[in-house]
Amino acid sequence: MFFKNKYPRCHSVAWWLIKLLGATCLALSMSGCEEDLVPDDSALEQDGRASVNTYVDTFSVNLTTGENLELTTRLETRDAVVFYFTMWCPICDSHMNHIRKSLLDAYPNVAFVMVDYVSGNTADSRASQSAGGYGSLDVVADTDDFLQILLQGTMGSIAVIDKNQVIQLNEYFRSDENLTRVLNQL
Amino acid sequence: MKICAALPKLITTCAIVSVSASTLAASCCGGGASGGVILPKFNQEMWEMSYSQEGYDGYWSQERIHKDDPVGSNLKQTTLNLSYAHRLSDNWQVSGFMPIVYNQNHYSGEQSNVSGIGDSQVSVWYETFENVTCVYRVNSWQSLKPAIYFGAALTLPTGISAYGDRVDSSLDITGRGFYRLDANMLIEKTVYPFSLAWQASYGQHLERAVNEETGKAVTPYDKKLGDRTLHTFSAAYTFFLPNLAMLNATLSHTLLDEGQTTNDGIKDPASGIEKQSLGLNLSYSSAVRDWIIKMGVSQAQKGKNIPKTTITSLGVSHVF
Repeated sequence: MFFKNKYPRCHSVAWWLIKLLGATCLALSMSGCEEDLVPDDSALEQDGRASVNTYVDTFSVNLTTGENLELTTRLETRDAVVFYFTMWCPICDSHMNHIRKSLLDAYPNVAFVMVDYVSGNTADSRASQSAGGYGSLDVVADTDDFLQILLQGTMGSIAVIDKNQVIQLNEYFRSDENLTRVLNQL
Repeated sequence: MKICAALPKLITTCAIVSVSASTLAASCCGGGASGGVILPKFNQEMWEMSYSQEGYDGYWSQERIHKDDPVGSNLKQTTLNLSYAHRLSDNWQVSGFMPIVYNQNHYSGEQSNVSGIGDSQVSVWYETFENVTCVYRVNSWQSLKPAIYFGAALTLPTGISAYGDRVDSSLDITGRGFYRLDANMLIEKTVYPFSLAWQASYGQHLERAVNEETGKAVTPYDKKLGDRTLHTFSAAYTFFLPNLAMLNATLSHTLLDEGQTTNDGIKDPASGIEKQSLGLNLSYSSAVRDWIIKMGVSQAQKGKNIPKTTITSLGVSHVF
């Protein structure tokens, strides 16, 4: 029959609760998701990112235009270099758009460089840059993971290296509050 | 690891949980709803297993401009959804939903395959009506009375999120890492062979502490995803088959809006998502309505800060 008017309510509720409890335990044990179910607010000992106030030796990386970007050379004419790590995703696009619209003109003495750490070669990186509408920005094709390792960069990371080749900021770009504070102090 | 952070993927993963287009005819032959299934009136329990595959075709930027994925990208997400609903009393029912997610990603020359449980959800629904409201003929104003459901749902962060040490790449992510409370409402009316339905949902994410992101320690801070509204409008036509089975075709339009994320109380201007999608679902109900086979396709039409995706699904339900 399509419609069933009878159901043993109390028994079925208890049985359902047992099944729910079992399924929940199974799901939790399989997922190992306690770090999300019970978030921890304590500071972890090891910070994976390159520390603030660390001196960085000069380096040279390839831009998608084929030119080289050498840190010391760039810092001869600028007060700092800002590296933003992109994987050409929606969030990255929002960040890069914000940098281009709000920060490039506000800080003409600072070099803003996008770091493409996902593309396997410079041609793909250049293609993604053009497709995203960022042809005018300096983009590093970090094909050998040099900057990713040096700055422990990941999606949305932003790092500031000042004129003395010292890291002044290295964090996820949640808002430009910290970034502008650092840039204003240069 | 070179591949990293596909935040769009996790956003869409969670959207799947909530955007089930098959809200139709819930009171009559069993339907879907935000976070699982809804029992037909007078049935005691129901389970559903469905398989969905999500293909990616670029994304919409914050300025709602469509952009392509990086050259050589092919992102694909396969999900096995397990749902169960149980009647507690004449007007109350509860349900649970758990997805198992398998990501296959070829992203800009790199490859990654990851599987795990996604974010789960438990729901409770109250039916405001005492009898089935699906009618074959309108005889009086009472015939027009719709089926109205009110519900609440809790999303549990059982998936693999970006806020732990289990991943060093966001392509590994199968969940968002936040609890969410939703208030749901479903209004549905069937005058055979036509049906109309509207499902509305308002959700609030709970704030949580974050001290780690994609395996990297960060200075602890509090994060809260934005409030979320979801509307699904659907219209359907039922074909009565010679063997007394029914074939139901549903066209749906879904609007999803999620506000800006706050970090330590400061709004992140790069966050917030919007998505509009169109769906077409077919469901076949056996003559005794105990087995229901569903298939559907849903494609994102517009959006903000979110990938353009096409979701195809196939599922089977059994009603007791």
